[in-house]
Amino acid sequence: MRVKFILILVISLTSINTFAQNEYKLGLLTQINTDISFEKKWKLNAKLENRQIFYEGVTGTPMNFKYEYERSDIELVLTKKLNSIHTVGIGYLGRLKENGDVIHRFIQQYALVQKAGNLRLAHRFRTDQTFGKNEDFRFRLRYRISTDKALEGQTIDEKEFYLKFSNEYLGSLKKNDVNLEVRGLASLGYNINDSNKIEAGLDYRMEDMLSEVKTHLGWLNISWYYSF
Amino acid sequence: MILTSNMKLKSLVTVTLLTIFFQLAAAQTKVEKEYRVKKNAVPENALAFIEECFPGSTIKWYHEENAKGSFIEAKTRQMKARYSIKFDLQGNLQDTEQIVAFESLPTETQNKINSFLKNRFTKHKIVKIQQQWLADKTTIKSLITTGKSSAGYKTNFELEVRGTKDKDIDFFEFLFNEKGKLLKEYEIVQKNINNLIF
Repeated sequence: MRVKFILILVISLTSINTFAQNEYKLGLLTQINTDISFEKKWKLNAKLENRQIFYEGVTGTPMNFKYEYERSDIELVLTKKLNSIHTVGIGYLGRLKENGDVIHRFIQQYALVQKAGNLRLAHRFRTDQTFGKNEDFRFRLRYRISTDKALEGQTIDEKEFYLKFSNEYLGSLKKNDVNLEVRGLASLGYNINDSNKIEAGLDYRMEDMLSEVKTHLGWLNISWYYSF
Repeated sequence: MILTSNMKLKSLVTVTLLTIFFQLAAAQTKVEKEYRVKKNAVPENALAFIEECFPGSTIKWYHEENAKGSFIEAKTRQMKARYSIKFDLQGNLQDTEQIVAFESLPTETQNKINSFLKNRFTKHKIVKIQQQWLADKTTIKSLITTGKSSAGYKTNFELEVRGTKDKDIDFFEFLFNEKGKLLKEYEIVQKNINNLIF
């Protein structure tokens, strides 16, 4: 059953690549993510993210190296801890694109953490609204599930490696156009201590899933998380 | 207009970066740690004891450091039961734990624990229960291999509980004796989940 499923998946993906002229981008995504706690229940999360593209083109055509700085994001999210499981938050993201355009985004989120034995599962629900001078207003609804696993022992302790996996689904509405995006991330992390982590991994995203031409994005994702 | 927006964004980046690096000095450390060790790093007496108790079973060895000191721990499964046996660094047996179901506890103990948890929380969920045996090596070996022992031994139950009270949800660890009397409790400090949420 499992083999059949994998076979169908591989054939489907191969078919997409063979018959549809989809677009792709491959590059480097770097992220510095910090948070500072105050008043026990409040946290301010600040994220700086850069995207640089090394390969870009249409699937099925030869790949040529072409460096391009794509964009930088600054995201600030203020969260309130409702209890040790649930948090709510609001935030703002400012994006500087390669052509100098600035995009604004407002964010609302709700997150919860489930614990089953030594397994931690984090669920994040988000809505966001994006707009800019040369950008149509876009509304998105997002859901992400993440988990991590210690490579040594049962819990992720100081100076230990771990694996992190996440999967996100994004529905978007722009003018009257509804679309869907799926993201998957597999990272190897190193826990310097509970407040300081470095992760590197592969981040795959499929954008415009409901359009005829889809966009495949592949990133080498390098992230640094620091909590004050 | 573009230049002004860019400058504002660059200023925000600079301020955020400065804040990050300025506050790096405030880093805090945590002492708890558990990591895998190879068989040859385990004291011989601990190794021999485990091989006697679990012949042919796959054993995973860990080094554990906590506020009480450093320990060597063996984790294994036998007949679907999951055991963890802790030794000091000289190989002296410290305690033996086995993951059990709440229903397997004596009825009177179950009732007392349930009553305690109902008084303590408006809502609760038992996440994990470990049965602890405190005895000498001969008794522990007999308990593991035959399920009984003629010699005296102590049984405690360690419960990890998710408890809700006044809209607050927290995780706790409670240690009860075999009669269901509370011996110890502490709140479990949740690890940072920043990297899972953002």
